Amino acid sequence: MRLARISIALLLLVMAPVAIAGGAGASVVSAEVHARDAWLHASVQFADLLDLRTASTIDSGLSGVCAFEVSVLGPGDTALGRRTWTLRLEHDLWEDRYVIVGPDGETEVSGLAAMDSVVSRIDGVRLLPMSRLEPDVEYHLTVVVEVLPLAVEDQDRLSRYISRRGGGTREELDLDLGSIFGRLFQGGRSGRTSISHHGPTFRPRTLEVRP
Amino acid sequence: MTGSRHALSLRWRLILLIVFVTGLPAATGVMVARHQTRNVLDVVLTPQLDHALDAGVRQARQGYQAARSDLAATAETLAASWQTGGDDSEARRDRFATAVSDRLDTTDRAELQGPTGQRIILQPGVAEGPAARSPDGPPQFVVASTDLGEGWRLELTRSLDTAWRDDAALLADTLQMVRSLRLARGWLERSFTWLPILVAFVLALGGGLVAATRLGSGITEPVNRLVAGTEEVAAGRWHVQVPVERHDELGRLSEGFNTMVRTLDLQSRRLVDLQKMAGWREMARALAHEVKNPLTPIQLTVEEIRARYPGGDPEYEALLQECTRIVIEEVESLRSVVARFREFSRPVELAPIPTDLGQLVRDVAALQRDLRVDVRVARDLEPVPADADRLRQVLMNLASNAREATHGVTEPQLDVVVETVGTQALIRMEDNGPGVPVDERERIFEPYRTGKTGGLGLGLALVKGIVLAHGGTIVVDEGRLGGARFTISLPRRPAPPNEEQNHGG
Repeated sequence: MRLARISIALLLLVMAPVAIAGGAGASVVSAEVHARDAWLHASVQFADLLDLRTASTIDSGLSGVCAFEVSVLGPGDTALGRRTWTLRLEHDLWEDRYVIVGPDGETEVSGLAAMDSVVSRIDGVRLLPMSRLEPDVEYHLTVVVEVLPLAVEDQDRLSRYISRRGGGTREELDLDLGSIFGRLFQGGRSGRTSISHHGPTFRPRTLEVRP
Repeated sequence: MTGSRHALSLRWRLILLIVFVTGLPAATGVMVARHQTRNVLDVVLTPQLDHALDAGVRQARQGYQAARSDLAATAETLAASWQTGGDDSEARRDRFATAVSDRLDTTDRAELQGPTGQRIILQPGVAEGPAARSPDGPPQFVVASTDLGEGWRLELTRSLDTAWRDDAALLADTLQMVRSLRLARGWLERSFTWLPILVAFVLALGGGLVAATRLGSGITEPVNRLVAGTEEVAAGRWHVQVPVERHDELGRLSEGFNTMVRTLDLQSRRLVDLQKMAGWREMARALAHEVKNPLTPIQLTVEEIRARYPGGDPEYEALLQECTRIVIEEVESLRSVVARFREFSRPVELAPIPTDLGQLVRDVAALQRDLRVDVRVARDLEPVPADADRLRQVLMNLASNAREATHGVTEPQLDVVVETVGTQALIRMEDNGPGVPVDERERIFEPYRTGKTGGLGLGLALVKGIVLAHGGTIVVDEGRLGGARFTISLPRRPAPPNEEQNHGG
């Protein structure tokens, strides 16, 4: 029995990276950079960032997480500036409130569609001072987004819940759905949508300057 | 032949067989498990269940919101009574408290918050403080707060029904679980399809490979040793023996191989011995014939010479008598030699009957003088087909040799052991004399070789001839006492037709 448990655990660990399914439909619709207040800013528009399954889990009261990373790369793909942040997507089942919790606080939206609209747009995020860029050197923007349909605490809570519902047979089976679930969602891998976009190339001298 | 060299070995065939035998049910298991898993997930994750749970959660939320609206309406009503309460603050609060207790359940909490931050508990209820909601479930309380004017606020807290909360929590948790399972459906399908089968397959394959490897080694190693042994025998090396490490069919096969090789070796040596013996006998017969024929004329001539001497010279007559006596004696001696040669040249004729070798040995031992003889006979010894008189002759001859070899030894000794080994009955006679040099051991049985003065060297040759005629063998080596050890091996079953006679006739 111990051998079987060890084998199952090893196989789970081996299979987990294989088993995860990346998001299929999400994409970057547009990504552009501009200068404002002597800083380089970027705006990105995504499509289908919250797929149906992710939206469905958020709607059931489970929290989702969107993690963004926008970078400016110079010659030789050297990172010159990078901004990372996460947005937590929540639905309060009892108050029926849809909330996006980000580094700047909470934003309440009317529903899932509005939530998708908000998270699908990065509007003028500040990246680095223009003075750090050479006017005639070519740079480019990269965007990485990961959408985790289940926040870590919800994964744990769900695992505990399923284990509890497993009842008295757990010790006999030595393998319960909750523990599988815990492993499955460990690190939010299952159902994760991941986009890595090699964005537009630009030269600072020709960059649009906005007021 | 080339094809067979490139063919898969027995071990690899076994391993491939095990892989196939474990892989086939695993593949079948995957198909069945996949089908069943899909069916189960279809049932568990049916859209109706999702909709029902969603509807249940909506109903529970509406219940919560209705309770909150009801409490808010109560708060508004109470606020109206506050407005009409007059100016006497204390009396006003008393009247308001009465109105609150009339309107609220005893489990509800009512708290007045004054403009200077004072908090007046109008009714403690069951709640200790402001309403709070557990982060892991539906709210425990509904809260309604209303502005009473002049800086006063009324906050009402109502505990929600425990049964409602439990049901709402169950609905929400189940809905979340179903949605999460739906999210992980692909992984679950793969896991529940492949994982158990893969585990079972890996365990079965591992076990099978270990078993096949051990089984293969257990089979192929003895077989390979037998193949190598067979090649050795084919190359003429008759002394090869394979180790017998098992007690099953392969072990018996190895034992059989060893016995077969030993028998072949024995028969081969017997054949050579028989051929030699035939040659020696032919030579003895010719020698006897050639020597015997002139003996009588010689004797008659000598006697004639002696008879015709007229006498007259006593000195010459004495010389003549002495010379003719010597010649006649030598002729008689030659006749004796010829007789022994003729006896040696004759094929050994046997009259085999079941013979108790133990008794035979004991009888011979009893006749020995000037020699201490110890006899040990195996208990399981059965009568052996043999010519008892001939065998007695053999034993007497060997005992005589032992007595002569131990001449001068302080305590002459002869140990005789009779036992059975496989298909053979063995008689070992071992003395404490000087032994036989290694390079003489093969040739000691050849005729005309003797270490004794006056002997013809036919004794051991005759011994060997008799033993060969019994279908047996005789060898000499060094025994535990340090002297010569003769080992006679006789078949326990009747020997084939007298080969010795065939070769010797």
